[in-house]
Amino acid sequence: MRVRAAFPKLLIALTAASLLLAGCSTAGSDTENAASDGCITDFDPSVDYFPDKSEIVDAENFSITYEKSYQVLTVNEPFTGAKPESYVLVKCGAPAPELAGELAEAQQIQVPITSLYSGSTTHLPLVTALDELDVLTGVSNGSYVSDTTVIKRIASGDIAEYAAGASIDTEAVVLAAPEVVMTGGTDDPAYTQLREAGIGVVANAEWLEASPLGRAEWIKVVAALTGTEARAAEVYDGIRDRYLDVAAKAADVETVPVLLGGMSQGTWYMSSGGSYMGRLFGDAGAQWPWQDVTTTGSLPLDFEAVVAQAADAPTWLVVNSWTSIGDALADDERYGSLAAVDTGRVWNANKALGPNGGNDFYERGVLRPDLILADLVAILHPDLLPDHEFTFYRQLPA
Amino acid sequence: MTAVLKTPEPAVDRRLDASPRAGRVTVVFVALAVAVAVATVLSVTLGSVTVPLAETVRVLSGGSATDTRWDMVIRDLRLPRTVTALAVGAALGIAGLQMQTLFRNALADPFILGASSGASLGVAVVVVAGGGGAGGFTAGLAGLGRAGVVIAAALGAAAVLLLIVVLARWVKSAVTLLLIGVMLGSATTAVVSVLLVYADPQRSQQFLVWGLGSFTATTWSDLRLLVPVVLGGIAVALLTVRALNALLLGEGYARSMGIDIRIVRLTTVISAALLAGATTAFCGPIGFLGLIVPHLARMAFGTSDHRVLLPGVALLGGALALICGIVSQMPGTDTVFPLNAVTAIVGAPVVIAVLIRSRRGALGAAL
Amino acid sequence: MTPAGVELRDLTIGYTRRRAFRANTVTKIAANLTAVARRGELTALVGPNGAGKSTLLRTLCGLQPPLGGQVFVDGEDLATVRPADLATRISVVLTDRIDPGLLTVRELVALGRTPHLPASARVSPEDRAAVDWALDAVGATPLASRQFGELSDGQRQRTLAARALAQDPSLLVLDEPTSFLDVPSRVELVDVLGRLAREQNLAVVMSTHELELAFRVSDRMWLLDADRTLTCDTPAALAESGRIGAAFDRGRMRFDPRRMVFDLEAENNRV
Repeated sequence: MRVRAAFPKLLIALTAASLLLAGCSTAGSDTENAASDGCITDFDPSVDYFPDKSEIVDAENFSITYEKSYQVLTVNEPFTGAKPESYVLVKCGAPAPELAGELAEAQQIQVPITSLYSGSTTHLPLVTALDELDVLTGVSNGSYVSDTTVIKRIASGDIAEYAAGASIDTEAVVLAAPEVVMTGGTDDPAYTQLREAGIGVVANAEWLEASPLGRAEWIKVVAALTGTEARAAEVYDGIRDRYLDVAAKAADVETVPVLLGGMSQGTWYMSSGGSYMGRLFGDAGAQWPWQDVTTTGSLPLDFEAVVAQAADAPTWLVVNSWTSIGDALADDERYGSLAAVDTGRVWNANKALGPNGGNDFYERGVLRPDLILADLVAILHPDLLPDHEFTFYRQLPA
Repeated sequence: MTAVLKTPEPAVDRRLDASPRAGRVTVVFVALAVAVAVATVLSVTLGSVTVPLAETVRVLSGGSATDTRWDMVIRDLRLPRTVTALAVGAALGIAGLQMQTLFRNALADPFILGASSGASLGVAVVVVAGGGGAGGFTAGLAGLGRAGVVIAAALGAAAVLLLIVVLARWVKSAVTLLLIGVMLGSATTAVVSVLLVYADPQRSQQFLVWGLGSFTATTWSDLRLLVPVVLGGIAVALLTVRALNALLLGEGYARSMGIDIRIVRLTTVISAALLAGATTAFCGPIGFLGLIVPHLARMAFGTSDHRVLLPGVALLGGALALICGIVSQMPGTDTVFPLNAVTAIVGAPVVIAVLIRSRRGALGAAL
Repeated sequence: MTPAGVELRDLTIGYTRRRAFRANTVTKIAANLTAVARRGELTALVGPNGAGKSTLLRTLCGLQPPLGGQVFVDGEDLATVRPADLATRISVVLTDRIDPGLLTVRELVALGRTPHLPASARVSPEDRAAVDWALDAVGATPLASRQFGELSDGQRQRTLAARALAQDPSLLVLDEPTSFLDVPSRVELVDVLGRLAREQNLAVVMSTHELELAFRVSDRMWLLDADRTLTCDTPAALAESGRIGAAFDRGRMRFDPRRMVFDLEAENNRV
């Protein structure tokens, strides 16, 4: 394929460039490789150049295997219904491995990378948590970003916007030539063109993970690209421990009935038990009639069914733009018959709004299911987490 | 100054040729009335929740059920959607009949002049503006939630139809007007696609859901507006019965009988604006009903006379809308099926059948 | 004294094409036309193709405004009559192809009562009586419950004539009513028209290409010539005037004024 044909030349160029930049490159995090910027100067085929190896515990949509001078990152479902895709991440300075079979066609990307174009705001916390923000040179669309540092860098031009109109500006990306463009887990013909131009296109399909921890674990994909495996392990283990801690507390007490979702044009959309939000609610000790549905999408329900089975739930959890219970009633006066509206226990995950109006729940929340879970447990079982400070959820005033 | 009218020769026994037709019309009306009654009963008694019949009757006659939830289900969910379906079915049927006769086109429907595209544009503008974009007015509408969507849809439909009305004054031929309507519809649809590209993905979802169509989104306060507007549109439509009948012979003969084509066009457009605009604003764009109900009515009654067809499509439209609504609710299950999917599944085969069996020209198509 | 029936006084016919951003273009077809068609008479409008017969008829009906001059119906200037009232004085049978859906003959004829109906289109006993009478007058009563779409051309023309009659006009205008009919139907229709004119005291004006038939049955003829003149006279007088020959003779065809037919001259001009 053309990518491989271009790669030997690119390899030499990148090797030369990275050697030149060795002095001015930002320090990689806590990697303990031979050269300070992580590039090999004297290749020895017997040396294992990946002393820190990521162990994938919760994520099911990707896996990483290690060889001495390269890793193989495999995304099982790069976008809905697609076949698995593998990427060969070669330690810079090492020769391109000769591979056989399916891997012979896989993209080869030099790691650690120094320039990354992200495809979704959910990628931003993954990069900042690893202290690798300097690697980020482009975002798809800056208008919904919540992270203030990123916003500043976009404004100053340090970070480019390459898909402001929701379609990728292929020419601009080819010109800027980032080493990796991370997709948002969707397909786009522009990606094929970028691959042919020699740019690494890595699918970040974390949204196809059903479990909250699994989604957060995609930080290890960014770690594989930036060589920050040790830091990623630290960050992820912390998130995981806190999550399981809170979940264990909630598992000890009786579940509490909740009402989820809301009406859109006469149909009530509710999370099923198997969906991402559903898992969070389940782990937080919530209980609702459609918890045992294991599909991953939202269920379109008849309001009647909701009224009959869940109207008495004392707490209602939503994620939308309501700022008060009055907003809810303005949307549909029939919400007035819900118990939670009566008691005023309506909680909306729109506390953390960014300066552009984007909801950080969808940005930072993806990396921090532990914070979401803590919020939920504090709502449903307040005595378990006294003095809890809410990150994403707030109780709506009347 | 009229000619001398000779006394009629009494030779003809008019009963011979009048009665089969009149008889059939009466039978069909009765059948339709029964169908509407049955469908109404089904719509109020069926749903995802099983409510005992006695309780339903008790609530309907003004009392309260033993379980307050049933009160709410019958009064605030089933009754409004029943009334909505009846109103929307009648409205779309009548608007469709007018459009098909005015434009002498078997495939004309209430939205052929671009009303639903205009409404979609209004809703799309609100959807995009809500993401922190342009204009205080649209942001204000976005802030109103559902009310904002309704107002925006109504304004969008009205704007397109107003444009048509203005153009109708300058345009001589009905076909030209129809084509202008179709082009306006395409243009607004294109603008909508562009707007959606820039919208927050969540809000695009909101727009898509609106496009699925629904009878269940209307509350009693919505109906306080929807029903009078629909009745108003029907009242205006009644004014055009004579003219529509004359138009069956084409514009040349209609004009020779004193019909002012421009006034008729204006009146039908206003009627269609009220009927199609109101239904789209509250329920989203609902496809197929306005197209097939007039054809089904012609088939059932066996006549093209609008004195029969106008009330006929109102009844038939109401019954069909109720049935589609009931099917979309999928009684006995928790989930719902999009309304437009149901009307398409019902409607497409009917349209194909009508076109295939059309022997005597477009509107003679009935069998 | 204005005669009962139709009078054209110094009429100029033509049409105006309205342009969007330019001045309108006015096309004159014929000017200064004067003619009369009396009640109780069948008047035939003849002339070579392209002379403007259709335009003249449309102006006569009020479907098109005259560029100059006046049209009087029973002494009233058409320009002063409202379109709604005009419809109670003049009714037409056009060449338009119609697609009346599922209408029966009776229903179609009943549409002729439109100018007399209220907006609700409620039909009164008088209206029903008028329809019955119109059907009978053209002999279409046995067809009353048949669907219009199933009729033969001749039957359709008779139905349309009945519709025009039901409209209760003073003037009945027909544009090429015999065009698609076979010979017996043509004769039958024209015969009916003549009879109607006389018995109902209507002014009937019909345009036709059937010159020989027109000469036989019409009481008066209007000849609209290629040179834009309108001659109004009885058939006999018109025949003798030589204008028919002047208008229609072509090739070997010659009009014989005495027998009022067209002859084909022999090849070598030898009789």
